[in-house]
Amino acid sequence: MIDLIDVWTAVDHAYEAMAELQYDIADRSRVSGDVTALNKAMTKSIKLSAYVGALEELDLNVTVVENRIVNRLYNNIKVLTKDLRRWD
Amino acid sequence: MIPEEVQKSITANNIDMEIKNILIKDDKGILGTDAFKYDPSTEALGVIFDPAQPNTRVLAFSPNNVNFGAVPNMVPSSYQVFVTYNGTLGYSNRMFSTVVAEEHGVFDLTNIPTTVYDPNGVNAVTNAEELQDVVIEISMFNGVVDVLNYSEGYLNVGNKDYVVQSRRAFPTVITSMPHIDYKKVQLDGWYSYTFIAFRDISVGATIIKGIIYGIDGFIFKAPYDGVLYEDAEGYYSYSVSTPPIKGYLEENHNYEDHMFNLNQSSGISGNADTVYLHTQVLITDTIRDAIVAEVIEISCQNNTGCDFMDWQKLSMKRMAAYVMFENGLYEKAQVIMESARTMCLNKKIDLTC
Repeated sequence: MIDLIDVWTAVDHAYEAMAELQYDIADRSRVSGDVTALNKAMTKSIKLSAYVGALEELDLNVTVVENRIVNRLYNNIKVLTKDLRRWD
Repeated sequence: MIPEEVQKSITANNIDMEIKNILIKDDKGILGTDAFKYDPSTEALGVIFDPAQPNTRVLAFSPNNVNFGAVPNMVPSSYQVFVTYNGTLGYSNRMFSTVVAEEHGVFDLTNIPTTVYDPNGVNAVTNAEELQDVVIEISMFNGVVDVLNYSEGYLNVGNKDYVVQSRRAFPTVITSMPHIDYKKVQLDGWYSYTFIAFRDISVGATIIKGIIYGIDGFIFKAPYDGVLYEDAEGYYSYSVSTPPIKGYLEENHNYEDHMFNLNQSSGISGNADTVYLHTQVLITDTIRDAIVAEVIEISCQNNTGCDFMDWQKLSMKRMAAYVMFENGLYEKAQVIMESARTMCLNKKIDLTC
């Protein structure tokens, strides 16, 4: 069962992971600044952005269904940000 | 919607995602501490687009949240202001600062200085040799100057912090200006604002070699250990007894000199020679315009004939620069902003479609 702090942590992690991914993209494509949408870092960024966007639209502890979705989004972010030590 | 208490936590950790066009973060200096602010919840420095010139993007910098009246011994004093644009040199990640606006004078408690920078006022040139004439000063830093050591920052991870390190800057040869591309001077990017108040020394006081002093708006760097004099015509001079040397003092408005001087002369005490404010500013105005232009273009063309992903890419760059900036990773924020330039080029908001 996740709580509000967990949601906050997930959002926090997601934003930071997105920022690092975008920095990697910027560092490698300094002149054009552009990559294809299929670029691995960009795809990961888009997914994280979508999960955070969805989290922002959901209420916690209102309905069982919404809680389940929040839980799934939380886990998706956790998997994408990978460094599980940060989640201890 | 994110519950209110979570939103508060996020805001408290600087992940308030309401990205503004002008982001300000007090970085160093006693004048940026809460003790000397009118409103501790906002930054000491205020930056706005100059309302006197509504059709252009002219930046106006003013430390209007600093309660100078609460700072001991502020009068009489002289002040020096520098606004620098900080950029990296291509793929080298080497950073340099360019002074884009400078002013100095007698500090007046009732008239806090406002420094204006108009990027359009700088005539872009393609010849690298002419760049020295375009900007007031170009300085490279090797990480020795503590005030400019931006190489470490923190990303908050829940209740834990970890240090993120980026490369330090090294001296190199200037071949191009980071904020001048295609004959256009870029507005977006990372700026540093430095306000230094020099508590006026008096004629007859001892001056120490290498230290910068101010008296009645005259700011100078002492060339020798000696004594300050003023002649009948009002010119300041110095005198050293052994060996006997005498000479006139020259004004010094060199950014690098002043940054080094802060390490030696600034302090919390009312007797310290200087007090200062060093604030970072990130402008994301052009990229915001490009995002809006892209979205309007998509709307007009019903998703045909344009890359519908560009708005998303630009939005992510802007967000990423924001997160980096808020976490004190200014160099990284600047790299991200620089990478967005080509995509921002020629993106103008067109509401006529």
